[in-house]
Amino acid sequence: MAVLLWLCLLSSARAQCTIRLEDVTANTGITFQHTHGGCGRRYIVESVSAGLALFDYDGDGDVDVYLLNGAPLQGTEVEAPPRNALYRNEGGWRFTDVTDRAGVGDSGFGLGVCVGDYDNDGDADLFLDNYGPNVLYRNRGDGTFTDATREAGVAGGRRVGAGANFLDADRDGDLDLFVSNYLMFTYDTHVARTTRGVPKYPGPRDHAPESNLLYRNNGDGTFTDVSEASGISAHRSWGMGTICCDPDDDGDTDILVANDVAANFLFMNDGTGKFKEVGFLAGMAYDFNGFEHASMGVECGDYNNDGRLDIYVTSYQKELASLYQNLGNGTFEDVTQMTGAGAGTLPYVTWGNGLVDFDNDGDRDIFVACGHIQDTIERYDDTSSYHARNVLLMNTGNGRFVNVSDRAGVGMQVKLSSRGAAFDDLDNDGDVDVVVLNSRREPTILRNDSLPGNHWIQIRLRGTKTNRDGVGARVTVTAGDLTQIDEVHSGRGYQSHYGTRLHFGLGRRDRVDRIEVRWIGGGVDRLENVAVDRLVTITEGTGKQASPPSAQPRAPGLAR
Amino acid sequence: MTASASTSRKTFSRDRRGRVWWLAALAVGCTGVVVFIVIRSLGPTAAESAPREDVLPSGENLVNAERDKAAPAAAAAEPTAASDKPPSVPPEPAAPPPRPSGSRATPSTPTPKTSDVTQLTEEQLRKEAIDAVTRLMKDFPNDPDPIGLMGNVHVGLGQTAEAVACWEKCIEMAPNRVDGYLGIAEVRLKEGQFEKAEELARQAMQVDSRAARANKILGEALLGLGKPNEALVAFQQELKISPNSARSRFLLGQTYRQLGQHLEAKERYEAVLQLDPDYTEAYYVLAIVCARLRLQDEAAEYRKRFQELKDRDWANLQGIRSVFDREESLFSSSRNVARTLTNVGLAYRQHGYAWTAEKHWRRAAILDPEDTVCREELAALYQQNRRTEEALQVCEQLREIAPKNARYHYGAGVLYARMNRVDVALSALEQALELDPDNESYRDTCARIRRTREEK
Repeated sequence: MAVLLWLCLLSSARAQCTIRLEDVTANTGITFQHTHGGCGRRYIVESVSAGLALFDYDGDGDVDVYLLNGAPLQGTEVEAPPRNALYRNEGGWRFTDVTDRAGVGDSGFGLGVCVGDYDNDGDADLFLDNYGPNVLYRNRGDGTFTDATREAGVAGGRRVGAGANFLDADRDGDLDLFVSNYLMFTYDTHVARTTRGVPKYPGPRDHAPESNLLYRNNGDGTFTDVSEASGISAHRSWGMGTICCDPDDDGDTDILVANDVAANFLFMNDGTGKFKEVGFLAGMAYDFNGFEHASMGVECGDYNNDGRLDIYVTSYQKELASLYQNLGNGTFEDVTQMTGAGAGTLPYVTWGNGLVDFDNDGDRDIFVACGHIQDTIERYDDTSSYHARNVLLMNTGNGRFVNVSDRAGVGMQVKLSSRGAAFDDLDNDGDVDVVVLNSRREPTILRNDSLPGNHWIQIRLRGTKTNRDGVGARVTVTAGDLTQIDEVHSGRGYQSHYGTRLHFGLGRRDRVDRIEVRWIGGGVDRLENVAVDRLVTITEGTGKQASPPSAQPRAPGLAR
Repeated sequence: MTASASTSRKTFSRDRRGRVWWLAALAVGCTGVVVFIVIRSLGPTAAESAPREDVLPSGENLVNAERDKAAPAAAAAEPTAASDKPPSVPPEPAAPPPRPSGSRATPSTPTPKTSDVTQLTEEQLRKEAIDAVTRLMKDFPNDPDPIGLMGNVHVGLGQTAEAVACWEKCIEMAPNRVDGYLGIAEVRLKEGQFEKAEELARQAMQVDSRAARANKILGEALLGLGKPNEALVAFQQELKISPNSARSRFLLGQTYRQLGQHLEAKERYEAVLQLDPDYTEAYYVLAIVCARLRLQDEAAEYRKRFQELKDRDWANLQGIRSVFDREESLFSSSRNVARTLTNVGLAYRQHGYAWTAEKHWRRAAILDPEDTVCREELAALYQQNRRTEEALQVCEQLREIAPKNARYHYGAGVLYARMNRVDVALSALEQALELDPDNESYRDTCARIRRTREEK
């Protein structure tokens, strides 16, 4: 009897993990293979790539997939140069390679990517932050892109790029561009490193830090470098993942930069596009104990639904991925240990990350992509491994996270060296799926098969006076006793892009009482009494819904 | 002369000769005793002072001092046990000429130079540590101490699975030893397995409730589990056992900070700086806490000092290693090896092999110019063996390394007094008193020596 009772308890405990992610990579038609471009010389740039983008490039209501690739480095010979790849979402988990047709097969060394309608013509443009010249692809609106880099003036020289973001820094209605740079690398400055005689990649501090760039959009398809005038370039470090958001909720967009082996940056916007670095005073430059981390990716989201955007930063082995709670007065507190938000991450190098409500229960869970930099790590450290399983932390709803990696489906058993991760509803069934870019391998596509029953709502913004995608806008969704916030971001996590369409899980609440949109630049729109389990498009200035039939997702559980 | 008289005379002659021989033997013996007493009163000779060679249970003899000094080539050519010849007793350092009573001894045994250490590769250093512990294990196969030491070596080599296996064996051999539980607990802590670390720390405390490190590990595990209230108790307990642990005090402050008790946290951090003025992270948390308490000026000062120390820390690594190798730097390796050799020496001493212990401590002192543990052991050994001059030289090294440690000044003072160098002795004792003015023992000794000087 006691055994039976124990088994019941055990099964009920296991059933509490409501998130299921299944690996559907093999059947998607995505045949992309990432290359790190190396030949054994172990240049540092090989080890840190790359990100990916999830966005609807052709406006058909499905989220497509864009994957960045490396390029041959000195000493590497290839038959055919590798390139980035764009896969069109055909629905039903089938994707088609449309790279050539779209004209976005850049063969540069891809590191970071962001998406935004920089020319406000109603379609999504693409910016690539490379090692080497950067690339700006302007979307023609017909499923093809053109290289507008030179015209725009954003090539950026021969730097080692990292994360990138479109943002309306000066609140003038068009998207400016923030470009993070990693370090100063040339083949001449390469350093060969070993541990106990085992060759390994050098670290970032073997190279000088780089400054970041800010380009102001001139409104005519060109940009002006305002890095110095804005105060951005005054701070050099080893920049990696970036996100632009409004943590102090003052109506303008600030910039967070995760720096590798150095204090993280928080550039506070004064409202006019001038920035001041306040990471230390804000409490998110270092971890709880005062150590700088080898920070990789940075994400923001309201993990405890207190109306303030919190920050999650991934990092290196023997460092916990860290959750910084927004205290509301421009300051943050590292609450990783108190909340368990770093559980399972200590042995691994962690990269892409997302604060995503996978089970639609109304609070944000955490997904962390893992994989070591050092492909020789097992030869001198048996506590870690080059390939690693990713980590999934479920939000219990009371301020704590539980590691459910072992219980969340076969998709969490994939063991590769992951880098960028992106999250969006790829099958339009009302829950958020996952795409992970793996170094030197095929990506991982995870379909969200979490237990049904919870309600949700997705929101897409259409700016009119402000930028067309509503980048930077703050959205508040109230359903009964639950109030959630989010913002539209361009570029986030580890050098990736996702989430132009906002997703809110609602639990059992079957009605949204109010949606409020605060557009970057000041205007506010409100919708009342909104039905759930649908995509809602909100146009600036109307306060009304605008929902073309093709954009309506089906109710959960129905196939396309 | 009659036969009987003759016999009697012969007998008497024999008896007399016997008595003479007996008396002569007695005289020689007494003379020998007298000579011995006289000689001992003069102090040990160099020959008597020379530590005797240890013949270890394994039959092996250790690498001799000549090979120790010519490290790289000789170490590479170390013979196997089977072919090892008994090492010659190394020449003792010549006793320095008597110094004027007012001058301190120059620490010269041995005077390690950083450049000596840096000529060794990490591979050679690691081999030295492994070889020393392996030899110890071979000499004492039933002693869990060497196995535990090998566990530490494996951790240093990134071989945590092997380390855990060693400690599990320690526990099996000696369930009442805490080292095994704590060794594994620290590994689990570093792996982020906080529940297991907590469980093992508690097991260690069941064996010994006052085990050093146990409460600290328990506290860290509890913090990792998000249980600051319980962690608070653990750190407070740890500080009762190790009140001078800056790290434990820092963690206690962190726990208060997690609980939002910023004033209590600030107090603890400030106490950390009393113990270690260069504790970099303490300045960071003080800056943060002061900012939270709206003490902006203090926050700015702490931030400035934090940045200075951070820049200094990175400058020390610049051009040598990246942060990924922070634990792997040559400096760290030679220090780790020194620590290992010190522990090996302690194990040998426990088994009664003082000479072998001394060799390891001397080597540790070369590898780590700032190691006080091996030097303390050497000083004690020299004092026990009346090698006063050598003991004094080591004490002077300790005084240089840790000038704020009153014990070292006191120890030097006592030794100087034994050598009748009264003025120098008093100077050292007064330094000890200055650092620890409430120490009655220091005060009494000082007074006694002053009286002795006055009587003269």
